[in-house]
Formats: sequence, structure tokens, C-alpha cells
Amino acid sequence: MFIKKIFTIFLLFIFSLSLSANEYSPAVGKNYPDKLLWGDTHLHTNESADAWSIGNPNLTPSDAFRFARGEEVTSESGVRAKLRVPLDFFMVSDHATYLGVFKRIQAGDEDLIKRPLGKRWKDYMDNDDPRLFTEFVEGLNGNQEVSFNKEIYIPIWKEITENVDRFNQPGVFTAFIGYEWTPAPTGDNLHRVVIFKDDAKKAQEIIPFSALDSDKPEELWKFLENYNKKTGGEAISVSHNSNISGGRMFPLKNSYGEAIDRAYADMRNRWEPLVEATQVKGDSETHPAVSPDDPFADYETWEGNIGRNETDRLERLSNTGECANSENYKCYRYKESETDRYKGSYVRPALRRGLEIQKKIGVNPFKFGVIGSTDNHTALAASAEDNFFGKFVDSEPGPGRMSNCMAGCDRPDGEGQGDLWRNWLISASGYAAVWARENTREEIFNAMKRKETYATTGPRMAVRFFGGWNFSKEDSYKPNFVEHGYTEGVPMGSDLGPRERGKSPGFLVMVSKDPNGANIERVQIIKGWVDSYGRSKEKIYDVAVSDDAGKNTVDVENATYSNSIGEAYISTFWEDPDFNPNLSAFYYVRVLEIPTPRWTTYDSAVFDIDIPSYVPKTHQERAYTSSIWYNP
Amino acid sequence: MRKKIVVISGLIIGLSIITLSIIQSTASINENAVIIDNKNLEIFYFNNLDPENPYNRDFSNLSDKQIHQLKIEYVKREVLVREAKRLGLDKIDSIISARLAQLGQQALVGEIIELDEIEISEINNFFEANKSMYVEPETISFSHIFFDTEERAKSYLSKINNESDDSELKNLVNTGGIVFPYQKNYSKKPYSFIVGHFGEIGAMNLFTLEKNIEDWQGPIRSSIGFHLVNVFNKTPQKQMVLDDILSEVKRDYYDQLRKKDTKAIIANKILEYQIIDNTKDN
Repeated sequence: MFIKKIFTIFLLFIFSLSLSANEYSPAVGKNYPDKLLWGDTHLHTNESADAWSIGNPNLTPSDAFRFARGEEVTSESGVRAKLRVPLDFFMVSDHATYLGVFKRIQAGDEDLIKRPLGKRWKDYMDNDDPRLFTEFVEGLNGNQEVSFNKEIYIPIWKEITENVDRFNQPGVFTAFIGYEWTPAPTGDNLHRVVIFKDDAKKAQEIIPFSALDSDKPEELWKFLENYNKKTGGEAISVSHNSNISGGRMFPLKNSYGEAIDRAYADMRNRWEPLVEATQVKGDSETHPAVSPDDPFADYETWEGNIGRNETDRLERLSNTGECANSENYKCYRYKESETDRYKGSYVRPALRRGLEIQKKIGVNPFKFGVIGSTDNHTALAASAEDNFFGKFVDSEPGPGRMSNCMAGCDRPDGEGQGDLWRNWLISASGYAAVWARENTREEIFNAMKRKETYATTGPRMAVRFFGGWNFSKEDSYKPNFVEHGYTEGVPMGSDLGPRERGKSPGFLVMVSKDPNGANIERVQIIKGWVDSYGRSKEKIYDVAVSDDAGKNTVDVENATYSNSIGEAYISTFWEDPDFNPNLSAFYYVRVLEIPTPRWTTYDSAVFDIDIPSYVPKTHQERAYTSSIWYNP
Repeated sequence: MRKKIVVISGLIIGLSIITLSIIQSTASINENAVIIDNKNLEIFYFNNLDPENPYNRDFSNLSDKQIHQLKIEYVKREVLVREAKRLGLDKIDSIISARLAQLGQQALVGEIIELDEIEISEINNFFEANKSMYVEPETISFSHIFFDTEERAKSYLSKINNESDDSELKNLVNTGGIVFPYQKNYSKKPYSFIVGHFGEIGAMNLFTLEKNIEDWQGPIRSSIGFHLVNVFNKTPQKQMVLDDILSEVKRDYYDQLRKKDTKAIIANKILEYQIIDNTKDN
């Protein structure tokens, strides 16, 4: 009897082995993300105080969701707008500071107007008093004298979150609940969007944490931690516009002036896994001041902080030639004494700084992934160069937007520069790409947490990036490229597995053009590492370059280009030729399109206006992936 | 008998007097009563919070002493309000008048935004006028094999067509071509979705293919490369029925109503009034 039992078990074991070798069900073992989903997690509507007061009193979050899922919406300035291709996921991130307040005061909300601040603002609105906007900015700077009791936000947040749930269609279109935390101490941008994994019921258990609660990111992360403990739900923060943070987005010290330690690093990594690397207020990948050997570094860069009145920190490089015009922002840089600010303001130097700190304290505080998003305040998540609806209403399509300024050009010193910025400077950018299993809140949120994401400046090029120790050139041509990538290596956002003796890391990269856009000129891998002295370095490797790289087919007058150059599809393998197994490193992919017209060039053709000499006519749009890290 | 009538009449009169006195005393209680319940006390508390106080003070966590103080304040407010109304002060104060106008405006707009009050006939009219918004688009379901050149795609198609063994054919389908960045299989996808993965030219070419489960078709061109395609199904564009999407249409109608200009709503309301302008006589 006992022998018979043993024999039966043995047979079952053999049978199960045979099954695992050749599974009946083809889906078994293929539990990897196979869906590339496109989204925007950063957009404002009339629930944001600044959007409402700078010309968007009408377009609601519902309009924004409809536009994102592909419906036609008429913009605030009366222009019909529609995306060429709908987005797969979307989040409205209205400012938590005074969330929905301006709109409701104007509509006569009893509860708000009876309060002293509400009454004052109603008077400002009735008299078109500009102090309304000034006080909003004071709120962003944490001025408690212009604040409401938090209870006022309970019904507003309830209405907003329930509306989001209405647009969420699992498997078809994902609508995230979220908002923006918007502190800007002394004008330096520390802004973050907060993305909730959860539905309205759970999100309603908190009131959004705003700049009036604290201007310290550590406090925001504590708030997210408390939300998690209280509700069992989950939310993450995503920083944006590090480029205008005055070096404070990726600092050496925490908000209390202490050197970054393990606790800070752990907290930041847990609650802030992503950085928005590109958006309408410029690109944050890198800057020529910190990447002088990168010929493509100066892409849609902005200088200083959002106020651009930092005469103590910025200097004009020249006042002749193209720099004769004081509006050419390219002619300003931080003063020599301030150049360190770039290291705390851009993604690539921050990734490098992260390795430097890791060498000292044992944890990398800047081990983040990247996405792009728009930050448009028009309710329209449009980021294509020829379908660009601007940042605010004053930069919606029209002949004046190339020369006007955000919220007017009345600078008190008469310099002619806008109080904030000239609108030609804004960038038609960007979108978030996510590799997920399904188009649902949970799947996309989890992909964001594991950093399997990348940023583009608008075009929807597909990018796969795997790192491992056993890849070969042949793998890049195989139809099971993706399966092989996951089983033999790791995707973007991960750490390389244990090194195999004598081997260098190899990377599989697959890129295809935006199906409705321009061809690809080159694919690069950017490597950063820290040497034995703790100093970080960077190097750029061209891993695939089109034969006609460097050519430009753009017809500026007619705003056209041709896909007669470049590649539609690239699949390749690259092994690090300079690998040192003792040094920590990161690797990420940058994809460059062939040159295409910038949005200002399309405007020039459509509205028959001249482009100022200092405005770029063409550019090369791009994608940046999250990194793959190597730790000795 | 007379005695009986007197007793019954006495009873009726007595009961009437008692009933009347009860009614009278209840009325007098109602008129002067200040009813305190948790709901109105909580509203009073929130509406009169000191904005300087930290936000996390919760009504349910107030101490007995605080609740007692709150009740005193609430009663005081109620009594003073009623006395002011009794003296007709609400009719002569300009601030109250302006405030009432504001509330009136809010109520008018509020009338419009009450979801439950929307009539089915209104939704029906809205649906009829906006039918084009509620169309299920044409869809396609297919598998494809992706190639970087047309030649490779063509030669693979002949391989597939010449293969008679089912398991070999399955193997050819599963292992052919190069990796496509998006999906291998698509189920009931509309043009607007397909165009995001295959480009305009690819979507156009795919939607011109007929349903054919038996044979692989192509190669067709997309903006990324070339594709052999097996079309499982196609569904034509279909007008949606109101009953199936009633709540969605109702919400859309509601959103549209909310967008209506408040001024227009007020102007319509003014039309319902007779305006007597005596200034001309002066």
C-alpha cells in the first residue's frame, strides 16, 4: 500500500515536470507588462485658482476628461480642439491651495462668502481687483493669513473625486484622482502632483495637503504615509519643474538644513518614485552647464526660477547678436558662484548626485523613474507641436501668442519681459508612457511605483529597455524579445541582478517611432557612475544612429518635414565597453527624433507671422526612459 | 333620555375644550421652541469656527463642556434672529436683502443642477439632439505578425500558406516576424485606438480588410512597418439606445445645464414677474 502511494506521487511529480517544461496554457509564465499606455497626470482646470483667474472660468474637470479620452472640446478662447489619438489614462491635478474656491465664490457659495477671506475675495472679483491673484500666490508661499479653515474643502473634494470616478472605465480609460501640492518658497519651485491609486470613497478620507499646510516635501511624504496607515489606500508624489527649483528639488540637505541621511532617502524613495522630467514649463533632463559634452543638452531649457527676477543669481551672457534682445532667455545663466544650482535642478545630475550620496550613506536618495506630462491650465492635455493649446488661455492658438506674456507683459522695470515669461518660451510637452498589464488604476499605479515608465516631449514613440548579463545581439531580433527581456534581465526602473563573474552588463533596446509622427534619428544610452573618490561622471553612447543623422528636412516657411530620413523602427543590443564592476552606475535611454518644426514654426505658417530670431525654428523631440541601476 | 343627551353633550364639549387647549399649547411651544439636535448644532459649529484654529478639530471629539457652551451660543443666536424677524428687521436691512438676492441666485442655479429633478423627456430631447455623441464605433478584432520589410513579410506569408500541418502553422504564427511595440492581438478596437498603434495609414489599411478567419492577409503597411493579418471579426458602427446609457446621458445633460449662463437663468426668471416702474410718474 505504502509503495503504491509513493509510486503515485512519483508519477504525479514527473507529470508536473513535463507540464512545466511545455505548458498547455500559452499565458502561463507570461505575466509581464505588455501594454504601452499613454497618459497625462498633470493638468489644471477651472478648479485651480490660477487657471480660473487667468482666463479659464468655464472648462471643468469633466471637459478635461472628455478631451483626454478623445472627444472634441471647445477651448476657452473658442477654438475647437481634439486629440489626434486619445490618451489611455489621465489625471486632473488642480492646485490644493484654494482648490475649487475661486470658482465657488464667484458662483455665490454661501459657506465661503460668509467668511472674511471669502467676502474679501468676492469683492476683489466684483471689482476686478488684481489682489485676488496676488493673494493666491501668497497662499502658495504659505501665508497663513490668507487661508480658510480646512473643512471648506470637504464638499469640494467630495464633488471633485466623485466626478473622477465617473470617468474611470477599467480596461478602457483610467481616470486617476489627484491634485497638486504647490509650494514655491522665494520663487523656487518645489511642486509635486499627488496621484491616488484609490477611488473617491477612500480618497475622501483625507483633505488634500496644500502649501498652506507646509512647504516641506518631508511633510508631504508624512501625509502620504499617514493616508496609507489611516485608509489602507496609497498615493505617491511626483515632482515637477525641477528646472526652475533653484537647485532645491534634488538637494544635498533636507528642508531643515541637515545633511541627507538614510531616513530621508528611504522616505523619498518610498513616496516619490517618479519625476516629471519634461512639461510645458521646459525640459528638466539636463543642462549644458552640467552636461557640457552633450550636444543635445540644451533642449527647451529655462533659467532661474519661475519669477525670472533673480538679478542676484542670474547674469546675461551677452548683449550683442542674438542676445541683443533682452527677451532671449538663452542668454541668461546662473552666475559662476551659483552653477551648483543646476546639479539640484535637473534629472541627470540628480541621478549622479544620488550615486554620490549613496557612496557616503549607503542609500541612493534620488533613485527615481521619469514621466512627462503637460501642466497645461487650459483643461486640454494637448502636447503635439501642431496641435498645441498652450499653458494658459493667453497662449492658446492665436497670432499673438508668440509675442505676448503669461498674464500680461507689464513688467514694472520696463524691461519688456513678462512678469513671469514670454509665451514663445513654453514647450509643447509632454506625456507619460507606462508599461502595464492592464489599463486599470491599480496596474498603472503599480507600474509607476516600480518605475516602468518613461517620458516623452509629446510624440508617442514606443521604447523597451532591458538590462542583463546574458543578452546578445541576436536577442534584439527575436520575436520573443520582450519575454526574453523579462526572464533574462530587468526592465527600466530596476536594479541589475547579481553580476556574473567576468561579464559586463548588456542592454536590449527597441524603439519605434510615433505611429503618427516623425522618424527616429538616434538612440542613445546615457551612463552615469561614481568613481572611487566619490565623484560622479557621465558619458553618452550612440547605440543606434540613422545613416542620415544630422540632416534636416524641415521647411520652415510651410512648417513641414519629411520622413524620408531617419528610421521607423530600431532594435539593438549594447554592452557597456567601459564597465568597472566596482563602481555604481545608472543607465537610461534617450531617443531623438529627426528635426521637426517647433510649435512656434507651425504658428508662423498658420497665422502668417514672423518668428523672432531668438525663437528656435526646429527641434528634435525626444524620449527619456527610467534608469537601470548597477550596484557592486 | 334627556339626561343621556346632556351627558354626551357635556363629554363632547369637554373633549373639545381639552383638544383645543392641547392644540393651543402645542402651537405656542412650536412658536417659541429652539430645538437643538446634533445636525443643526454641528452645522452651527462648522459655520462659526474660528479660522485660526487648527483644522483637525472634529465636532465628534468636542468635550461635554464645549458642547454645552456651543448650545448656549446656538440658542442665543436663534433667539436673536427670531426677535429680529418678529420686529420685521429682515425687511429693512440692505445687507440681508443683498444676501437674500445672492441666495436666490444660488437657489435658481441650484434648481438647475439637481440631478434628480431632470425629467426623462428632457433627457430624451437632449439625446435626440446629440445622437452623434452616442455611437458605438466600428471595431476590428485581429492578430498580426510584424516585419520591418515588405519582402520579409511576403516570403513569410507564402511559408504560412504552404504549411498544411496545424501545429507547425501555429508555431509559424507564434514565432514569426520581429517584436511589435504594442500588442499582437486586438479585440474589438475602434479606429481611434488602432491609429495610435499603427498610424493613419495602418489603421486605414486594417479597416479595409474583410473578416477572414481561415487565411492570413497582407502584407499591409503601417507607419512602423509591414503586417500579416488574421481578421477574426468586424463590427459595424452602431447607434446606442438611450435605455442602455441613460445615466451617462443624464449626467451629460446635467453637465450641459451647469454650463448655462447664470445671467440667462435670472433673465428668464425676471420674465415671470410683472415689473411696475413708477419712476416715470415722478
